[in-house]
Amino acid sequence: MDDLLEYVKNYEEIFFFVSLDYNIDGYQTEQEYYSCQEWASLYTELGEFGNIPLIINGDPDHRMWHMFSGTAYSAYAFIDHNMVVKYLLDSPNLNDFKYVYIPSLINSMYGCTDQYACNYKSSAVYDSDVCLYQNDCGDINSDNNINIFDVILLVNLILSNSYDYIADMNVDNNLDIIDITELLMIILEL
Amino acid sequence: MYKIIFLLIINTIFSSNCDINFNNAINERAIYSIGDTLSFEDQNLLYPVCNGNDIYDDDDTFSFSDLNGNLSNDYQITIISMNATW
Repeated sequence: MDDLLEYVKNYEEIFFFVSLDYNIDGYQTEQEYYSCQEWASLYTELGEFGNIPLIINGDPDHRMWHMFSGTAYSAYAFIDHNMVVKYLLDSPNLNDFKYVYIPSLINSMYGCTDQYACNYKSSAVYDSDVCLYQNDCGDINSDNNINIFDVILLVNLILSNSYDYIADMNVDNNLDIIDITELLMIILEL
Repeated sequence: MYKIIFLLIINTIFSSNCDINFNNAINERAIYSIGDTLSFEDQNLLYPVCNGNDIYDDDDTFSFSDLNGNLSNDYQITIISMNATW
C-alpha cells in the first residue's frame, strides 16, 4: 500500500483515499482490530516511504464497501472525473496498478478537446495539443494527399504493431481494420 | 402428452427460479458495477474523515461530489482502497 501511495503521489490527476471499516469501538469483530489513527500509523511503521493516506471512517454501515465490493477486503475501486466506475478489483498487485489501470485512465483524460477536430477525444479533459484538422487526418505520409499510399502505410503500421496518431482515424489509441475502413471512406468520399 | 406438458411447465418454473437466484447473487455483491455512474444521492453522502491529509482535516466530512470534475472543474481519477482492520 505504501508503495502504491508513493507511486500515485507523482500524479496530480489521481486522488487516493482509504475507506476503513471496523475501526471504532462497538463495531469491531472479535479479531484484532485497529483504530483509525493506529491504522494510519501502520503506514509509517511498516511502509518503506512513510506515506499516510486520507482515511474515511466506513463504520457503522460500511456503505462504501457495499457500493463497490461486497465480497472481499482489501478491495479497490477506480472512479473517473465523471463519477463513472471504471475498475473494481480485489487485491490486484502493484504492477497492475502502475502499468495497466492507472496509465489507461490517465491517458483517457488527455487528447484533443476541440470538438471540430477530426481527432476530438470526448473523454479528454486536458488538451494535449495534438488536434488534427481536415487534410491532417489520415495523411500518414504527409504529402498533402490522402490516397492509397496512406492506406498501404496504415496496413504496414498495423502489421508491424506500430502506432501513429495521424493514422488513428477513430482515435481509440489503436490501429486496426476500423481505421482502414474510415480512411478508405475518405478516399472514396463515402 | 399431458406428462410432456407437465414436465415442460416444471422445467420452466425451475429455470426461472435459477435466474432469480443468480441475479440476486450479483446484486448482493456490490451496488455498482463497472460502467455505472454514481447516483446523485451517493455522490452527496457525507463520510467522516478520521485521518486527514493536505486537503481534509481530521473530523472533516468527505463526499464524492467533492471529486466530481463537472462540479469542481478539477478533473481527477479517484482510487478507493477499502480495508477492514483485521
